[in-house]
Order: sequence, then structure tokens, then C-alpha cells
Amino acid sequence: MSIRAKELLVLGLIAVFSLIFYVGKVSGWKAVQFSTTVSIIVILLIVLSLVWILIKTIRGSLIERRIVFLYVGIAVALPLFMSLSQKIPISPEVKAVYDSIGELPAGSKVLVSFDYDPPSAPELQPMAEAFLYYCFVRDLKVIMIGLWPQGPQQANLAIEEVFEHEDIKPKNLKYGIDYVNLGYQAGNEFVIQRLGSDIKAMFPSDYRGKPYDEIPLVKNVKNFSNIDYCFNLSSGFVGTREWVQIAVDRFGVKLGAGNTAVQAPQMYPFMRAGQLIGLLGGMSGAAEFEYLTEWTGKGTKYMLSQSFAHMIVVAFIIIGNVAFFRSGRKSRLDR
Amino acid sequence: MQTIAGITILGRVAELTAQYETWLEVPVCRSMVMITAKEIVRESYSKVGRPDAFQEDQVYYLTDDQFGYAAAIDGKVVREKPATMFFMGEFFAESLILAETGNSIGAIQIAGTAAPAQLPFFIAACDFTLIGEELFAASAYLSKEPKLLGSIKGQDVGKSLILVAILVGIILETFDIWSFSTLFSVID
Amino acid sequence: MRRAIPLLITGIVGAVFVVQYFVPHYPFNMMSNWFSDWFAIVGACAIVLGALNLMKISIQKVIKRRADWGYAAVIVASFLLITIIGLAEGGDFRDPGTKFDWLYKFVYTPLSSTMFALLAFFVASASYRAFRARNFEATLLLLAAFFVMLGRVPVGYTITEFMPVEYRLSDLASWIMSFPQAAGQRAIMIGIGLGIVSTSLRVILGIERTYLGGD
Repeated sequence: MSIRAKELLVLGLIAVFSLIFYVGKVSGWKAVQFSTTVSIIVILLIVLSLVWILIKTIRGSLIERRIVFLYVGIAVALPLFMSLSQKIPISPEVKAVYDSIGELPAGSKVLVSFDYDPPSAPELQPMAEAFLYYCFVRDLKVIMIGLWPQGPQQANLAIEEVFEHEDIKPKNLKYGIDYVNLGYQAGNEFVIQRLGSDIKAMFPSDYRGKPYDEIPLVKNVKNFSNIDYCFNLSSGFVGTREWVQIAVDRFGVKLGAGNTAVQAPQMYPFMRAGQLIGLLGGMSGAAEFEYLTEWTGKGTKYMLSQSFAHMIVVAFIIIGNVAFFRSGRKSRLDR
Repeated sequence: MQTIAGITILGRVAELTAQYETWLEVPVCRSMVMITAKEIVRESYSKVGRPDAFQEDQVYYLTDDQFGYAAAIDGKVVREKPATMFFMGEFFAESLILAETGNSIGAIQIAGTAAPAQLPFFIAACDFTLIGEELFAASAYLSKEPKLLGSIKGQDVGKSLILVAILVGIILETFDIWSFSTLFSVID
Repeated sequence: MRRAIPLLITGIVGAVFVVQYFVPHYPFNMMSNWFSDWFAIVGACAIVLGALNLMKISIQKVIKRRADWGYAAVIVASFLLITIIGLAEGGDFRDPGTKFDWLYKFVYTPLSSTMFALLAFFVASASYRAFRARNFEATLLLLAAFFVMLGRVPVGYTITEFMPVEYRLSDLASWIMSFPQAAGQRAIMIGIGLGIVSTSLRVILGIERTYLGGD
């Protein structure tokens, strides 16, 4: 099949699935939910198929990468229909973020920097929602900024979601008094540096254009010394590393962070050195924080898919090694 | 800094492609880099006596958006099937997408990055990888200038000094001598 | 002059930022703030420059019907659509309920997330291809990968819940991340830091001039 034909086929499939989902949403179709028995049967079938692949590999028939892709797709999609639950253990780095927020007195100012965009939202948005929920439950004041252009928008989406919660609605939180979105500023790490001396210079107005001095929450907030806690959600540059290098190292800011799973390992040296108070790493970090803060979010909901996906990857690594050893043994026998 | 190191390597690659009349494309994801990269490639082509071979469209800006950039590159790679791909500079999550796509079409891939999170992906998917400081050393090495090569030597000396300091610190802290780790803290 | 002025600017700005780190007082803090503001301005202008360049190339491709001109047409149409809608909505274009917000939530977000989701498939295929127990070090890497992959998800805790606390997969994964992994990261970061210092000094002192173009 030519590349053009493949492209048209994919576009056609996307259109068909989109139409099905649209019709389903409009018609009010209920999501399919497997019972526990059916879920276990599905899991057993998948395991049996993997054993069959292993046997085929031992016999010398190597699988191609599209089979791997198919199994990863199944591992991610099928758990969404299953009604299984799993216990979520809490890691020390996530507990550290939770405890550090818990120590702040009511009315403390928390600066949250949304340094990510929609591709990282599946991992970071659940963290953002749980964090904002916890801040509002503890009556903390939240100042939101973005060092990525889409950051302020992601902040708005998180606020929308959190304000729907039955614990937050009665609080009747006011924009400009309890929380504010100062918007995006270009300049990367230079913005962080300037926040250390003059926040207003970098954010002369909020994301709607209201002047800084007319916003009650921030009009007396000059720089980092007026901020009690910073929380950074990031998935790349500019991100947590720059916040540690500038905000923590130079201005002594208390910093917690939420990072994607790929970036989280890089932050462990900062945590071990005490520069970072705590870290929410990837969707598992989000799920753990949701558990601690009792926020029902997508992190916990999608952890089953992540568990399955990890097990599938481990299974294929084992199969790949079996193929490797088998080919090594075959070449030794041939010699 | 990684971009600057990558641009130096680009200059050398451009010289070789101009010499061997191989088509070179440089898609960039930062507009400021595009201008510099264009100048570098133009100068490299002129250096080997092939200024006529340079075309403005060889160096172009795609998008600042991480995955928009990855999608554009992937599409181009799958359609045009380049023989060689160079990944030099700072990469994030798009690194594996780019490298695996290149691997799937059988291109020779050479990567260099100082982003520790992306190194495992490049090492798994690329044929050759410059790890961390090797990227900076390579840019100096390729230029063959004595001052730049001297700076690599200086890096090695600096690393030795840090190693000695770490070893001394480990011994002192293990035996609780002298509070070495608080030596450089500022007393408020 | 063409090369002297950029070298001068680089040298002065670089030196000011280095000195300002250690001497955060007047006049270095004032100069550093001024340069930071200019960096923000130049960065914002550069975005416009890049967008215009992209439009120029895409429009030329469409007009001259070069290879894959259809994709260029999609770029031009998308760019114009989002720009016009954003401008038409006024200052509140990012507010929930606007057309811009709709495009952001239901077009841009799913498309970007889909690209990111590709990573899951590529990680699996790269792991299947690359994780081989070729030698002792590769086997150690393989075992660490097993412990971390299973330990970082709840299933790792579930299957080893009966074991003593320090020996559960989740605790082993935590130990690997906190100690060997952190040590390796530190080593790489120190090397990278030295490389950056070296390259930065070369650029600030004008020894490295490739970024200016030519000799």
C-alpha cells in the first residue's frame, strides 16, 4: 500500500471513530463496563496470547513491532472498561509535597507555575487539579503564572474542574481575592530571575489585562519574599530545573514540583540535596497525590491502564531476550 | 548552549554535504536559531566553494510546539526517507518519537544531547550518541582550533578538581570531620 | 562591525549576568533586569519572525504546487483560522466558552496529546529491541528496568505486598530512583555543567564564534 493510501486510510478510520463517538455522546450511550469476572477473563486471554507469542519465539518465529504496538494499544484501552481497583502506595516524595502544603497557615500565598502544554496534560493536569483543590480546601491564596504560552489556559481548565467540586462551591471563591491568573510571559529563566526582584515588572497585568495594582491578592506582593510556597508543574524547558537553579538557589524559595514521568528522575538529585521539597512524578505521582488529598481525578482512574502497559512492556522485554538468547544459541550450534 | 554546540556541528556537516553534493535539510523549532543556522549553512557551502548549491529553503522553521515539530519531522521522514539523521541539541519527549521513526526507515542516526532524560532513548534508537559533555567537546573538536581544544582540556582539569573535592568530602562526612558540606552555606 | 557588535553585546551581557550572580547589587542587578526585559522582548519578536517565515514557505509551496503542498495548505488555513478567531474574540479570547477556547480544547489538545501518546508505543518497541542481556552491565540495567517499571505502578506493590517493607517492589524502585539513579544523574549533570561553563566562557570571551556565522 502506498504512503498516500495509508494516510487516507488512517484519516478515514479517524473520521469513522469520531462519528461513532459523536453519535454515542449525542444519543447518550452509556460507557461499557466489564464486570470483575469478565475483566479477569480478558486479562487471562491476554496472558495466554502472550504465552503463545513466547512459544512461537522459542520456536524461532520472531514477532514484528506492529504486534508490540497492538498489545500496547490493548493494554492501555481495555482497562478503561474494567471495573478493577488497585491499592496505591504513597511514595515519600509525594508525601513530602502533601505535608509541606499542610504546614502552611490559612491565607498563605502559593505561586503555581504552569509550565506545560496539552501533550503533557494527561500527566500534569490531574496533579494541577489535585493541588489546587488541596490549596483551596486549606484556604490558601493561589497566584497562577505560566512560563509556557499554554500554561495559563491549562490553569483555567484546572480551576474550572476544581470549582465543580462540592467542597469548593460553598466557599464562593473570588477571582482577584482568593486566586488570580497572571498569564504568560516570554523570557524563560529570565522571568524567574525577575520574579525575585519585581513580579509586577514581568506581569504588569493579569491574563485578562487588569492592571497588577488593581488586583487585591497581588497588589502587595512585590517578589518571592512575599510568596510562602512555589509549586511548579513542568514537562521540559523552562521547568523545575530552572526554578531550582534560580528561585531556590538564589532566592531561597520553598519549592515543590510536579513533573512528567520522563523528567522526574532528573529531579531526584535536587530532592536529595534538599533544594526540592517534594516531587509528583508522572501519573503515578498524580494518583498518589489524589489519594492523599481525597480528590477524585483522572490520575487514579487511568493508573490501571498504566499498570497494564508496564506489564506488557516487561512481557515483551522477556520475549525479546528469549529471541536474543535463542538466536545466540542457534548461531553457536551452526558453528 | 546545546544549541550553539549543535550549530557548530551543523557547520561541519554542511561542509561535507556541500562537498559531496548531498541534499541537506535543517528543520528548526526556534525561529532565532533558524537565522543563525541559515548563515552557518550558507557560509559552510561558500567555504568549500559551492555557494551556488545553497538554497534558502534548506533551513526552515517549523513550529515552537514540541509535538507539532515531531509530527512534521516524522511525516517528512516517512515520506522522503532520508539516509542520515542528526539530532543535536536539547530534546525533550519528542526525542524517542523522532529517533524511532528514523530507526523504522533504516536511516543512520547520530544524536547528541545534554538532556539526561533523553539520553537513554537516543542510545536505544540511534547508531551513535554523544552523551552530555561529549556534545560540547565535539563542537570544539570539530573546529580543530587550539583555543577550543584547550577548553576541553580545561574541562577535564575542572572535572578532576571536582572529583578530588567529592572524595575528600565523602571521607570527611563519613567520619564526621569538620562539617565539610556546610562550608559554602550562607549564614543569614 | 558586522561581527564586532554582536561579539561586544554577547561579551557584555554574558559578563553582567555572571557577575550579577555573585554581586546582586547596583549596578549589576539593574543591568541584569534591563537585559532580562530585552530578552523577553526579543524572544517575543522572534516568535513572530518564525511564524512569518513558516507562512512564507507554506504559501510558496501552495502557489508553486511543490511536493506535499496539501499539508502546507493545512498549515496556512489553521494558522489563519486560529489568528482570526483569536483577534475577533478580543482580550478575553482565552476565557472558557469562546471559540478560541473550543479550538484549544477540542482540536489542539487532542492532536498534541495524540502525538505524545505515540511515545507509549515507541517506548515499548524500543524496549523490545534494545533491552538485551548481552553482558553483565546490560543484565543489571535490565533488572533495574524491571524493578522500576513494576515498582512505579500499583501492581508492583500488589504482587509484593506480603513481603517485608524494604523488599517490596515499590520500595526497591524508590531506592533505585533515590540512590543509584540519582548518583548517575548527578555525575552526568556535573559533566554537562562543566561543558556548559566551558562553552559559555568560549562564547562570552568571543573564542567561539560559529553562532555568528562564518569565520
